[in-house]
Amino acid sequence: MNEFIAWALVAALGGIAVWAAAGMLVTMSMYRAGLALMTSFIALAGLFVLLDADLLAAIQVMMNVGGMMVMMLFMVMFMLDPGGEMMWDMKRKMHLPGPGAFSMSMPPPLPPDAQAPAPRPAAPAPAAHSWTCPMHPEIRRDGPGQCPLCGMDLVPAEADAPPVTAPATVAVYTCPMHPEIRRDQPGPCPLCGMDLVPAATDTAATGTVYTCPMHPEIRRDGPGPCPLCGMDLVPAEAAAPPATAPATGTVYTCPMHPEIRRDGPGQCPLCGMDLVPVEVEAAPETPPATGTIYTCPMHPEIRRDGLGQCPLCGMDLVPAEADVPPASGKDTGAHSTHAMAKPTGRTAVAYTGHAAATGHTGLTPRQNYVMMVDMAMSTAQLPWALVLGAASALALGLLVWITPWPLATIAPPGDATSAVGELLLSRYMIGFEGAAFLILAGIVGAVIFGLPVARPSAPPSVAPPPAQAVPIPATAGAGAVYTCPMHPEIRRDGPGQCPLCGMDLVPAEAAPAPATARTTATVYTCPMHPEIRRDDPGQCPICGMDLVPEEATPPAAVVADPPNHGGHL
Amino acid sequence: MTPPGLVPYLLIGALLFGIGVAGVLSQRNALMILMSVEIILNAALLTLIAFWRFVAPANYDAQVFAIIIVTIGAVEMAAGLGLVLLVFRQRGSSNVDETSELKD
Repeated sequence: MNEFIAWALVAALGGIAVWAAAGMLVTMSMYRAGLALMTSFIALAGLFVLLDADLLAAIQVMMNVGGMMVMMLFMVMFMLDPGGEMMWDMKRKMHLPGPGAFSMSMPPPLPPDAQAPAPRPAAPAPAAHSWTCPMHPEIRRDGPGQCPLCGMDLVPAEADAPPVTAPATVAVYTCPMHPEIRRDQPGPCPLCGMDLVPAATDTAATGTVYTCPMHPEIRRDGPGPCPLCGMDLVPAEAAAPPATAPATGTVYTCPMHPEIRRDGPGQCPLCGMDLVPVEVEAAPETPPATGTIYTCPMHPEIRRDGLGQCPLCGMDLVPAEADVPPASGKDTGAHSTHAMAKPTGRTAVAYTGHAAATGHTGLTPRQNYVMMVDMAMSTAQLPWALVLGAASALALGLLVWITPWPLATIAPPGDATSAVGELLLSRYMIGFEGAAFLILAGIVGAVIFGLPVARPSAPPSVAPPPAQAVPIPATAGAGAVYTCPMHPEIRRDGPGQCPLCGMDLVPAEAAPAPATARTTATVYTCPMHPEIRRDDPGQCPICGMDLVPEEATPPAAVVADPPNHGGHL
Repeated sequence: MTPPGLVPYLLIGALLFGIGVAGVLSQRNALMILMSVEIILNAALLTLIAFWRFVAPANYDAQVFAIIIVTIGAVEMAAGLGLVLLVFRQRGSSNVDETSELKD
């Protein structure tokens, strides 16, 4: 083989193997991680072919790639989000950069004014509604401040900037997907990279205005998706400006999501529950001056007084940084302010101090890191793991590099595949078969353990529960009975731990109510765990078996302890 | 130009080994840890085969040993998958942090 081709193949296959393996660690989807690992395996098989190990390459493809396919099958069966669609959707909403397949990337904080386009001369202090957001021209305020959408500092609006009121006198280019992107010249969209197209003149200003149920500040001339959350825009009622925040009076909020605040009744856009009226204080959005505020790395508009989980995505809340809060109340609408930043991409415009301090997405680097780690299924020790991995690779590379290995100059003699096959059959077949047996055992075990617990076929009337620990009615008055503070139905003769929650059993109070109640009514118990006793049928909280009615457990049955506790899988 | 020798393969193996180590140490899901172990195994496999090819090509026992390693990897994957499924069924999660106690 030509040396150049050999080098190219080694570089390509090695690069694919390493790239796919690294991508496995940074992807947000376990399914894609499996695909990446399969890619790495196949590239390694190619390297094996280059190393004259054809049989090993074939076995590599058959076993490892086949094994990964089985593993991915189980992933699809068990994972909540096997394809990473949920994570990808969150990433899309956050406008995080990075390719789709391997999506973990830390949005780099942009330096202030780093890549600002043509210098924007300071406007001569226009009068009303003259401050706007570089990313959201529809945001217009009387004075400087921060954009309620992305948190960027508002800049003085230029004369030809307003997209709604005045048709542009010069060509305005916008993104087909992000109409809020408006530029004076063509180029790529800073959000999605699509080429900007000449914007249609805004002549429909008097027509129906469409707004987002979640983001009333989004107002468009026609229907379409909300650029922030992707929801379909709906016709706005009477085109009322959304910034008329009900400083006082009655607002409607969701019982489950207090951050949802509306002017009128309706349904919660998050959970669909009916909004309930609440009397709002003067400044509902004003963040408390003292105390730690916890927020979600993905949803900064979620703000809680204590630790917990985000009601939207379930991530752990983290302490909010001082500069993250959504636009300090003065220009918030009657809803929660969506403080997710719109990225400005590589072609950022007028990225000012606040945005630079909070990073590419309006989050602090710490929040970015937490979000990245959580989405990539990693622990918080990821940097240390990367350091150790790099150190081990470096040490291994140095070790093999500096060692003077006595290289052979000959090629493998004969037919390597046949020789290896003969060796396998003659000398190593037993070991190979043993390993194959272990593979089968593992797969069968996985299938068996993956199946639901088999229900015993013994009818409940024939097989009364073994009851070495069922002394509820019989011994309740005799000796001390221990029960679980959390599960009163757990009753033992001595101290121990609750089989349900692991708490230490405590002495039960005399004459507990459950003991007396069970003597008359039908009691349902588990054939395998007689200490589980319920008034209603259901499933055993320990093993999941169906509870069976217990016909007036005779005290004799308590004493008669069957010799074996058979039947338990 | 000389054909690629031992060093490029060993470097690829070292890189894969480092990636696998980082994955085992950083991932919180048992399945991802299993897959990272597979990367480590494959790195060892590549190193072994490279050494066989460039140091002792006349002795095919190394290839047989490599095949055994592949088989061991498949065994590890199958058995590990069974364990992960069992843990998942019992605890509703395959995150290793939530299985720090063997007891229920």
